[in-house]
This record gives sequence, C-alpha cells and structure tokens, in this order.
Amino acid sequence: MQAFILDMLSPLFFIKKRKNEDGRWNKFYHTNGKFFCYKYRNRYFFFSKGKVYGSRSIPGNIEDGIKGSFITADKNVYYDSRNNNDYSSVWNVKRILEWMGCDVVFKQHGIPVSGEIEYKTWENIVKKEPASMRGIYCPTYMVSGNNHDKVALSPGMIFNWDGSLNGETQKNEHHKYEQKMLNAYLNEMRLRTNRMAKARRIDNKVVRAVETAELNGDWSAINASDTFSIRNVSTRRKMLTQFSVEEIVKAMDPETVDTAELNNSKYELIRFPQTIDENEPFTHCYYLRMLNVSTGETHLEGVAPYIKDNTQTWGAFSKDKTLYAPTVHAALAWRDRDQEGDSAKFRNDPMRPRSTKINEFDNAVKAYNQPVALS
Amino acid sequence: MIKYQHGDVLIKELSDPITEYKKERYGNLAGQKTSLNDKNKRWIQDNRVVIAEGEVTGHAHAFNFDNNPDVEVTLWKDGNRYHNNESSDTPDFMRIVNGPATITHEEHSPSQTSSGEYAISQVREFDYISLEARRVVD
Repeated sequence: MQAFILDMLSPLFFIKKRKNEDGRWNKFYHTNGKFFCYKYRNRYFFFSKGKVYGSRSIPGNIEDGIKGSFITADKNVYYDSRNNNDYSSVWNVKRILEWMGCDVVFKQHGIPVSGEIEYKTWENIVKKEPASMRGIYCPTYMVSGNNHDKVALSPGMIFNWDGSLNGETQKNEHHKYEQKMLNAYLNEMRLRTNRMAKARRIDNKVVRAVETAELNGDWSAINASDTFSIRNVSTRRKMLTQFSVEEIVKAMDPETVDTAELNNSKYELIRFPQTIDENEPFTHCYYLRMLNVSTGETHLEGVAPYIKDNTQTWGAFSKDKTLYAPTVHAALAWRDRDQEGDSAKFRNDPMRPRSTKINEFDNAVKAYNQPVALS
Repeated sequence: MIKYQHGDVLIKELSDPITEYKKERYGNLAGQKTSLNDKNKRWIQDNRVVIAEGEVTGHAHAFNFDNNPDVEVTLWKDGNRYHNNESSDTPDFMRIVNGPATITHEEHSPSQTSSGEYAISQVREFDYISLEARRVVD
C-alpha cells in the first residue's frame, strides 16, 4: 500500500500506470472522463493537486471523492481524512496503519481502574462544549518505535512516511485528551500492579505466619487486621477461630459513612478499604453497626458493598445484589431484600431470565420499607 | 407493601394473591400446605405452626393459637426451591384467615400479624470472609 501511494505521488505515475506492457489500459476506473481512480486492495485511489486520496467507493467527481475519502497522502505525510466528517475514526486510523504496513502493535485494556480526569469527547470538541470529569478508561493505543512509545489513537491523526507521529497530530485537541486519558490509565495500571505485588507479598507473609501459629498454637504475632490481607478463603476463615468479626472490623479502623435512627435502634453504616483482591469490583467493605437503645447491645452485620456507577448485570456484585446508595436505608433495604419485590422467592427460578431480574430491580422503588411491627 | 419483622424472619404482604402465581406464572408451585386442621404435621409442633427454626439453638418463630383459636394459617413451599433444597423446612408463602395471628419466639416479644397473604423470607448479611451473601442464622 505504502509503495502504491508513493508511486502515485511520483510525476511519472500516470505515464507508468495508464498502459500496461501490452498497451492496454491498466487497472483504473474512468469516472466522468476528467479524472481517474485506481483500484488497489478494494479501495479506490485518485490524484488531485499533489495529493493522493483513498476512497471506499468509486467517486462520481473530485469534490465527492475528496469529501468521502478515508486517507489522504502527500509527499511528506499521510493522514486520516475522515477527520473532516462528523464521526470518530479511531477504527479508520487503525486500518490505515495496517494498510500502510507500519510496524506497530495496537492495544486496549478492559481492566477497570478508579479515578476521574477532566476530559472532552469528540462530540464535546465539535460542539465546543466545556470539559467534564469522566471515569478513567483505556483508549485504543499503539506501541511503536524502538522506545515502545504508547500513543493513543484519535480521529485525524497525521503520520510521517516512516510511520512516526507527525507534530501536527500532537496539536490536535482531541488527540491531546485521548493521550491524557491513556497516560492517566497507564499510570493507574502501574499503581495497580504495584499494589497487587505488595498485596501478594503481604498475603504470603500472613499465610506463613498463620501456618506457624497453627503449628505452635501461639497466635500472639497475628493481628486481626491481617484478615483481609489473605486472599485464600480457607485461610481467611481460620482467622475467625481467633478473632471475632467485631475485632476484625475494629482493627481495620473503619470510617462512618451514614447514620440513622430507625426501629428504636441507632444504625451506623461503616466501611473500610477492601484489600482482599484488587480484581474485585468493590473498593470498600461495608458493615452495619446497630445499637439497640433499649438493651444497649451493639450488633455488627456485613452488608453488600456499594459500587459507584455499577453497571454489572450478572455475578456476585451485579447492581441488584449490591447497595443502591452508601446509606443506612439502602443497607437495610438490601438486608431485608426490599428491592426483590413479591417475586423474591423465585430468584432461583431458571425460567426467569437475568434481564427480567435486573429490570425488576431498576423499576423497584429504591427505599427502605420500614416494618410495621418489629420485635 | 406491609412488612413485619420478627427477629431474622421477614413477613411481606403479597401484592398478588398466591393463586395468581400458581395459575399464571409458576405452574409448579407445589401445594405443600398445612394448617392446624391438616393431617400433614410438617410445620406443626406442640399445637403451634413453626415457620422458622434455629438450627443451633432450637428456638423457633411460630404462630401460637392461645390468644386467637379461630385463626387459620396455611403455608406453602415454592416448588422450585423445594426440589432444589428438600431439607429446608422454611415455608415460602403463608395465608392467614381470621387473624390476627400471634407469632412468638423464645428471644423476641410476641407480634401480631393481620389476615392476608404473605411471602416469608429471612434477613441476609454479607460475609466478607467468603465474599458471598447468606441468610442470617440465629
């Protein structure tokens, strides 16, 4: 492809390509008699005013051809000409680089990370809207060059003929935001990798300590706060033989998220950071602390975590199985299965599709239904 | 929706009659039914109807008929759940006629439940040790 376009840019192109050795017309398509386009790899290329344009269909005239082109090249650069259109063309940039035979690798990671940055979408830029805060995600990017540079793909990218990024691309506003998003994502991933390595080290250390304590019968070296550093469920459960849930939660130094007085009791929703597994979708463990004002007894119960902007529709942490808000009311509603409605008993019915359950949850009133009688 | 809570047992009023589930939506609602007049002794213990029994303590949430001998309590199991877990004795639906019915427990004060049709379930908690939700067991 690269050779073909470079060939087209040569002044001798028309002489060379118009007729083949037999004197017959070579591969070209006559359009309106005023210009020619050449078919190559099922794309149609034509030359106009020192530039080569590539189109997906045979253009009727030069203006339509330029408007509908997907790639433009001159003697110095080639670029994504769909930047002139109103839709994103990251996919197009990817195809262009593939067609041009550039030695790059495309990547895009689906691992969610936390955090937000100021960001503008392509639409925001076109409509001249202000930037807004957006959750960090991984844009499609390419790894190229000897330094393995990571460059986010964006519409309208301009490349030099050696495949390197042209300085003009870096001035493109959308590219700046995409690159900013990519840098933020890669930074979060780096921190995540470090955290996971650290968690693995602590996990190994605590597991060894628990094994030793079991053998010696001396648990004095074990701290209750180590419980949530252990990834293995069986080992984690061993901690419950030595510490109560109250001791473990207290050792985690929880923060109070919400308080309320209901049902003649004082409720407190507390949470502490989740250190069990970085890959789990929730960031904090939530507990409901209840004080019976009549007896003065305090009781602690774990409740499902709250996951901000949870879009999961299946699995243990789907949105219908987690708190709808980080509040005491939401925790009590979850505990009492209030959002499950009358069909609570049919949750395991294999005939009921998952989407039905999610729809029921979405349409349910998100509030705690206080019992008329509680004893 | 009217809800009663007696310890860890939740009694929620159904918006649709139990028969509606049986006829229209869930054909295999097993008619596991009992009452004081029924010969099925499944949920009857010492002249009371037990809807939940503590596995560890042996304490039970049960309807007692001392205050209101005319009350009728009818219980159902959900067919699907029954076949999945035949060892579970907790009923899933309940109809109370000639109420109110009095529910008692060794550690909780008695509570009155009006006539009507109800779903019975238990409060749940999240276990961060095993990362799963489970019903509260007292």
